Amino acid sequence: MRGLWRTRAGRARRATMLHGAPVGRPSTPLHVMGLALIFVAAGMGVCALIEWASTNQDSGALVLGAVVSGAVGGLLWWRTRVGSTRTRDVFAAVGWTWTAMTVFGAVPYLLAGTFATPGIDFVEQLVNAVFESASGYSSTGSTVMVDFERAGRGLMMYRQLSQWYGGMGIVVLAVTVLPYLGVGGLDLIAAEAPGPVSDRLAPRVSETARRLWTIYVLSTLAVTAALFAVPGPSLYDSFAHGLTTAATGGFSTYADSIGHFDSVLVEMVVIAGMLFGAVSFTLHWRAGNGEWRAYARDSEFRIFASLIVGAAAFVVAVLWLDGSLGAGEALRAGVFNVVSLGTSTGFGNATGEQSPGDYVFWAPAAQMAILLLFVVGASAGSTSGGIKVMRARVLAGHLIRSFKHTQQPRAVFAVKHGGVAVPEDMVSRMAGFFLFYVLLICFGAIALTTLGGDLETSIGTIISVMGNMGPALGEAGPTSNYAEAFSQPARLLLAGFMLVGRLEIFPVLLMFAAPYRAARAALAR
Amino acid sequence: MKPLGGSPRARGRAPGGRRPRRDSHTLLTVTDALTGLGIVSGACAVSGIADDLGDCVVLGLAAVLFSGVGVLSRRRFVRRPRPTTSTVLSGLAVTWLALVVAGAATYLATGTVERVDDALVESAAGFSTTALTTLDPTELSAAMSLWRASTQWLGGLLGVIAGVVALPAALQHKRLAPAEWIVNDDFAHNRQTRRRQVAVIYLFLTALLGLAFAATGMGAEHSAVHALTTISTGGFSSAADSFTSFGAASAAVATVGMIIAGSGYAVIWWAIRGRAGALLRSPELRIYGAVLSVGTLLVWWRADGLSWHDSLFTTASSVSTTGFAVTDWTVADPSVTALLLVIIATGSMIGSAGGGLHISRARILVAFARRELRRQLDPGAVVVLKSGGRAVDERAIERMTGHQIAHFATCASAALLLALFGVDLVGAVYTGISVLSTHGPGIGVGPYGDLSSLDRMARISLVPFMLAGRLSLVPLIIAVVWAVRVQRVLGRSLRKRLAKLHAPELLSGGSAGSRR
Repeated sequence: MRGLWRTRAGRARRATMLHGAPVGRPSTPLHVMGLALIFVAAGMGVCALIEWASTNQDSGALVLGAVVSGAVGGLLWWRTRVGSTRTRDVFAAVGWTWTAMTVFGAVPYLLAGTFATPGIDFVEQLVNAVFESASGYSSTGSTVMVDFERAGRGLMMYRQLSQWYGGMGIVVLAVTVLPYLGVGGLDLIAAEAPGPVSDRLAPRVSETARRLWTIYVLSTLAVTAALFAVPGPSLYDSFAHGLTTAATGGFSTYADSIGHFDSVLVEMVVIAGMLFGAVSFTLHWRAGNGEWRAYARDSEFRIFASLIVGAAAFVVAVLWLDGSLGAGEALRAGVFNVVSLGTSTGFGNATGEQSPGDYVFWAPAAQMAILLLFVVGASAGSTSGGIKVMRARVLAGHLIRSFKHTQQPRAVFAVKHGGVAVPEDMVSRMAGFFLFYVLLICFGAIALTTLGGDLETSIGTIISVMGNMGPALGEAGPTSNYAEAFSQPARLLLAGFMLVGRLEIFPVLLMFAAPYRAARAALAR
Repeated sequence: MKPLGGSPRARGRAPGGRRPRRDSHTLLTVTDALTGLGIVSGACAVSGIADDLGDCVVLGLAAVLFSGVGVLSRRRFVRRPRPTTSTVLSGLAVTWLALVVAGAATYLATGTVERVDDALVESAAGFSTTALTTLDPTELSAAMSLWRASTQWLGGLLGVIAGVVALPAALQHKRLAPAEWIVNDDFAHNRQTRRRQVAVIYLFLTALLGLAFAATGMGAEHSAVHALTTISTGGFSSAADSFTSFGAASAAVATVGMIIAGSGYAVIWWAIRGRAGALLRSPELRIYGAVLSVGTLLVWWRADGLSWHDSLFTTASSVSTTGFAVTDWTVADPSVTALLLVIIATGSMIGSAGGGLHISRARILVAFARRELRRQLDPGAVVVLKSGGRAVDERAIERMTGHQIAHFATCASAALLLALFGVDLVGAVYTGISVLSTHGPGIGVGPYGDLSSLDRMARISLVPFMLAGRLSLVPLIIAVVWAVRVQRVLGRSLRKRLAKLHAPELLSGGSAGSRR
């Protein structure tokens, strides 16, 4: 036994044995993937129970989906153990885990025949299922679902749950539950979490992950309770929307989203929930520990709040001055949609086509403001998408510095954020990220138009999908459907872009690095 | 030799009682440009004398006025041997602003345009080489048509001189090594000679294009106008529907002209000198060729009914940011529009008269993005970016990334402003990018650059973006800073004089009031 920790592999084996973890072939990506699939299966199982207790029409699909995911996940988890946690392995773990989740997450939709409407063949059903799954786990909120009445309550709850998993991140959940993943766990969290940095809330990584999930669960329960307290939503509706509000996901159990309730109180609760989800969870933790001024002191929070307030005021003013809406309607529609899209949630409060909340019929200036919000997104370390306020702030600082350098080439200026100098390598990384973001948007717009989309819809959709917003512009607006707006290949491409946007580009682009190295080493041997 | 700095009071009067020459690079550049505008106006007045005497008289007077002001003012200023970067950049911005004002005044004086705002838009479109117009070119006299084209020609020439001579000279001794400017040492090191070389090539190519257009049977006036606006990547036409009504031969000449105009002057210089090796080694030229060929193929594939030569014309017009059109490509397949939009945003080669981000910068930015991707895996890796075999200075990369962010932010601002004035969403985005790349035509304004569909406020709001596209944002901001400084200096001087007038004893006593 003593000889076990004389070698690296032996030490790892002993460590995993002591913590009760399985012993097998070292492979961090496969191990994390196995764990994630087990969680996915667990979610499907719970939703199968809900289905069985309520509508009981898709129970079989959910159970079978849970069995498939659980079996594959369990096998992977049992036959592997945590190996190298080098950067490329971390990226591979996160990238492949999310891909697997998307694929296995599509199984219940496929088995339940959610998209099996007349005239739709199996391939299209498959594409739609993968799209819906990707939209769920990436907490985007775009949908190809046409008939919302067709799916059972359990399956709809699974759809909501997939966004909840994706909001905080399933790898973070894995680190929370299994502390032995803490070796290199912060890198895993950083690779998955939205934003350029990942704050450590406690000395132990698993404790950090646990705290993040605690806030997340509490916020979900709070939104659920608040929704249930106001007139309108049932307990089922409250919980379903609580899940996707906390996750800033945007899926609803109704085709007309929050507009279904047509209630100002419901919209106010949802606005509060979306704003909570769009702020860094580190700030929430500090505030929860009595440090209430943490919000006011945080530079990113101040910018985000100003952005939302400014955008809301601008949009309301444009809508009101445009004359198409009254002051009250403009205020309600403007504020709700700005918060929904500024936090990358994607809920809509349109009660029908061309209703006040249907922003594709708004004045162009209001739509343009929304499009710019799609790009910026919300705070880093939250559940939101977009390039993040922190990055936008640092990039603006970088821009000002480049102006200064033109005049004073030898001077040394630091880019500051919140009064603290941002390290140069981080500024560089953010500039590189922004470049990739712009390049991918250009590529996506050309690809979508080539695959049959019109220009407005394609530009709006690619920006929306990259920022994990959900509804877009043109034919993919809040009262429209992606199945009607885009062809099959375009939908598949968009599913890929959702994952790229959720994982913030680099993990997806680099997820092939580790398998490539492994294959090359195997060939060399 | 005594330095020329310091106040005139400190220097005292020059021998012979003449006032000393002021050291002002900015004003000297303005006077040179005004002289150039005067000469061009005079030439247009003479060439169109048979058509409309009234316009010719006004243009003649404008020629005398601009040249007179230019020549007389020039004697009062002296150029510092090594101007600072800020001086050069502010000089460029102020020169363009002065030209726009002078051009607008000429339009108003001739009665071609009746409103001040329209005159400013037309003049800004001319000097920024943007193919946007408020006029019906068929209603212009020959002299005015030529003069309008000449504003683009002059704008293009100034753009090339700024890119190939002024900016590299200003930045060379700094740490802002102009790596994205592939300016070969074949050009003379001396600024004056280099400027002359560039001007001679520009003139030669204009004459060559004029002859080629004439050979296709376009007529003297049309040939001259299109030669002036092709070589400058301007895009103004003497026909309301651009090249649609001209024959295939004229369109072919224009295509070749646009391709040449969109390539950098270093490339043209190499071609003239027969340096095939340098041409083949140029990575930017290879990418330029690839964009042209792949773009043409894709446009041909996706746009129904468009011949390959029309596809090449449209792609060349977009990549060189000229703005000529042979067809209404805005109604073609959306993928064509999206592709052309990306091509327009990328723009032409550096050191050309074209606008956009420029291929060289785009290439270095993509290399930078790839390096950051590699650094994700190996954060400690030291990767040097190279351009044309030379390492690119990190400060230059920083400036380029900053420039790209500025470009994006300016596009977004332009689009938001246009949307605010009622332009639909896609039109606003397209026009914003198109104007910032000095291309011009777009979905919001039509394929022939006719601004009549736009609201008056939307038109006038395009003016600063045209200049930002021509000069990039940095010179404009530095010009604003310069203007604020000048205003402060003037204000201080005025206050001093007023104080002197009202309380001379306070000044002589050095009281707190005068110090304030």
